[in-house]
Amino acid sequence: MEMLIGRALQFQSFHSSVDAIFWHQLSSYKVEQQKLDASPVVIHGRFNTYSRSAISIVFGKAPENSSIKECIAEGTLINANTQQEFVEANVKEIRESMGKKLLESIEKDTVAEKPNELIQFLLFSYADIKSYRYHYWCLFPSLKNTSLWIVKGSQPAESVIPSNIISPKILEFWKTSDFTQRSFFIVAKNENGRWLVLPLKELPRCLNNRLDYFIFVVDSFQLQEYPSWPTRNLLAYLSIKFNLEKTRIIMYRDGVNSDSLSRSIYLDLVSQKNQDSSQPLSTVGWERNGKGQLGPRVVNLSSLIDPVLLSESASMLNLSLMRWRLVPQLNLGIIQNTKCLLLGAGTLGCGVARNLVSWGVRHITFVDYSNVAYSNPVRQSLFTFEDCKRKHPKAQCAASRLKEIYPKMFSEGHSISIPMLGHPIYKSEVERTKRDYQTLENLFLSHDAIFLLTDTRESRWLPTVMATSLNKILINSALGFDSWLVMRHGSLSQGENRLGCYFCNDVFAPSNSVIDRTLDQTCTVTRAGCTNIATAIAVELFVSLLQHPDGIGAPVCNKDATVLGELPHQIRGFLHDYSLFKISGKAYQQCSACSECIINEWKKRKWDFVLQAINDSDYVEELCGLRLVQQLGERAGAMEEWDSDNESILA
Amino acid sequence: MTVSAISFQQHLLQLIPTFTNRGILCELVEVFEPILQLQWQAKPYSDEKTSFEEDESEMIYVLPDVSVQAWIRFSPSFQVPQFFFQLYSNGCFPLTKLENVTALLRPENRELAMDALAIGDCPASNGIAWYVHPCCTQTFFQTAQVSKQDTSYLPMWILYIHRLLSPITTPMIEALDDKSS
Repeated sequence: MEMLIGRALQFQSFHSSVDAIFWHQLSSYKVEQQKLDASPVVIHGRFNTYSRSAISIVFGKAPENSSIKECIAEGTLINANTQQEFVEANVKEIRESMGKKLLESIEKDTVAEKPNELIQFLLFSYADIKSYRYHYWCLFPSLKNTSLWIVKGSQPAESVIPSNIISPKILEFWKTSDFTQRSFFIVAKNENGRWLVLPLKELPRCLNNRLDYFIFVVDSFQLQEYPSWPTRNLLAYLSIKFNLEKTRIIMYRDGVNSDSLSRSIYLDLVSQKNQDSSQPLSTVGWERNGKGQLGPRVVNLSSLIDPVLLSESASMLNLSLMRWRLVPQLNLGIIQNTKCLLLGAGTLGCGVARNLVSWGVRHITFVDYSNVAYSNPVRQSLFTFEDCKRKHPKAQCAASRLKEIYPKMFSEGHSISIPMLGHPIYKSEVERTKRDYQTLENLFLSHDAIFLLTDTRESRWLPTVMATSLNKILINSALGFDSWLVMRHGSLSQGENRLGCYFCNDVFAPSNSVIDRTLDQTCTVTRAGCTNIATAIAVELFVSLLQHPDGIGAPVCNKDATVLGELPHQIRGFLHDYSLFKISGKAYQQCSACSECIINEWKKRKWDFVLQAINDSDYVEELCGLRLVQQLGERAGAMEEWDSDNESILA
Repeated sequence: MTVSAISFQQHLLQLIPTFTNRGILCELVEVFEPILQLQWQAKPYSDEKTSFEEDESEMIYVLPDVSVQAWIRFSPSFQVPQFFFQLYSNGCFPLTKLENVTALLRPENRELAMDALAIGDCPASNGIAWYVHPCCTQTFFQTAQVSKQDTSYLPMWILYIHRLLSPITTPMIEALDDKSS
């Protein structure tokens, strides 16, 4: 502190500390009580010798029994009703009004009875409650153009005051007086040589009786050399009210329970007329904002208290931690931004959707033609009993249920049918089916990945054709009673190493699998665990595929191929022995779904091709060459029969 | 809730005078369980020296410290104390991104902190708060072998918290040091 000697004292400004609780209380007060009334509201601030020039702003009046460890500053909140009102407010007038109030307190000496009138402050705000944004500006008023105070001497307080005697007396003073007395008080030696702690109103007695006294000011500081704002206002009080030309103050920086004054500093000060002292007193004290400029602050608390945003950040946290802690190269953005189309909103569809949401996918569209049935809710996790009673369409119901789980989800459902081979389209249904087909095609165009989760073989044919032609990621999952299949279809970009599709191992085009079947043969009857396993693996395969630099064109890869490990083609699992197989196969040139002739024909003729393929049962097999393969197969079979007839004769 | 001879509430009550002597604002709140609410200012980690500038001839402006709101509660599932906190820069801007929080910590603590921190519902206030995951705390207590009946139960745990969050939690440690001296 020696560096200050001979220099004019400078002061540290206070910083407001306003937390979410304050704004929440203000919001509640505004909505429930204040409404449009712009009358001032009582608030208070708390600080102590360790609060490093920060003052915590608290809503409401200071409690009478506030802890003796804190100093209390009484404040006023003025909350504007509109942002315009806030922006256009005359801040100079507000500032001068507070300065006038401070000066009045000094001149009329109400400070003597309530010393903490020297540290009254103002908070001017506008609360945009709906968007959780709060504009505010704090004013800690001080008077400008008062006398300067030159430091004549400075030393540790313990060198001028016996701390072992004074410290307990300070504690006793704080215990017995109310909070208005704590920030400024006097320590004086009376006529009998006894040290006393006195309220500030005893200053005239100390002056008149020429007592040996020190004025204590509770100092919350960041930099040792600079006392804080309360000291400035105290010195203005001494200068204006008592016209003191010199004074001795103690910057009280110890805790009130401390038994020493080791942190506190004694200052011997001499007043010097400020060169601006001929100017009328004006006021300063608006707080600087977060950029260090004189201006209001805007606090956006939506990330802290807006439930929708809380949901967003919390749901991504687990994935972010995965990336921070375990897989730094994990590309979460590509997962989040991939638009997924789920064909089928049944057991597989619900399971896949849930897993996709866990991975951060935020755009899911469902396609399903049926309504929620009473048998669905126990196996299909997005539906409830109420949905059955109200006969909600599955696609839309699943979409809105996802939004209930995660509000920022983009999800929608389409109740359309998928044209299927083996299910002829009658004349009366052509228009409706064509509309459904066009909706389906638009959905394919607008999404990045397709999940084939329907319940029949033939319903997967058209999506396979379209996805292959449009080069969309396609993840296919199918269930048996105790077995399951998950596979990714190949891409034309893989060239001659193109991986196969669901139909590449077939020598017949798909046909109507539900005609003339019993109930147990038409419904997929499957062990409950199969679905959960299949849907989990389907989504994991999809996410791994996204991590590969080649994406849809990625070949079958070993365990180090992606940051998440292997990238197989097909996975088949069997619950009866808990086994799992990884299989790969190339695309079949005569495939009924992904062969080039099929794809090209679809590209050329679109709906006309689909209509012909569905209504002419031989067309697809003829086009892709499967009819020829069948004929060759029949011939080979006949020749074998001939040969085996010979053997039987011989036997 | 009773935990052997000394209840968790009693442990919290023992901390209050220690912390308040060091200027940490403390309040014991009862929200279905005893929770100690704390508030203080902390100087974050920085390589740069504290700078200031003149606001006007008599006033200087120093960049504010970080405001810390914290809560201590007992995790019934993990049977360990749990530390929640909110950080505000410039007195009012909440820090809700992990990288912004860890940037305030000592470089040697950051990786540990990133492993141990999570975000969740604030126990005694609306909104969310950061917390030190109690499964990491469980591991600490298994190693430290401090009994719940020991008066140093919470102080030892605070040392562990400080290892992760230093220098944000320095005032708590200084308060404990003041008490022991």
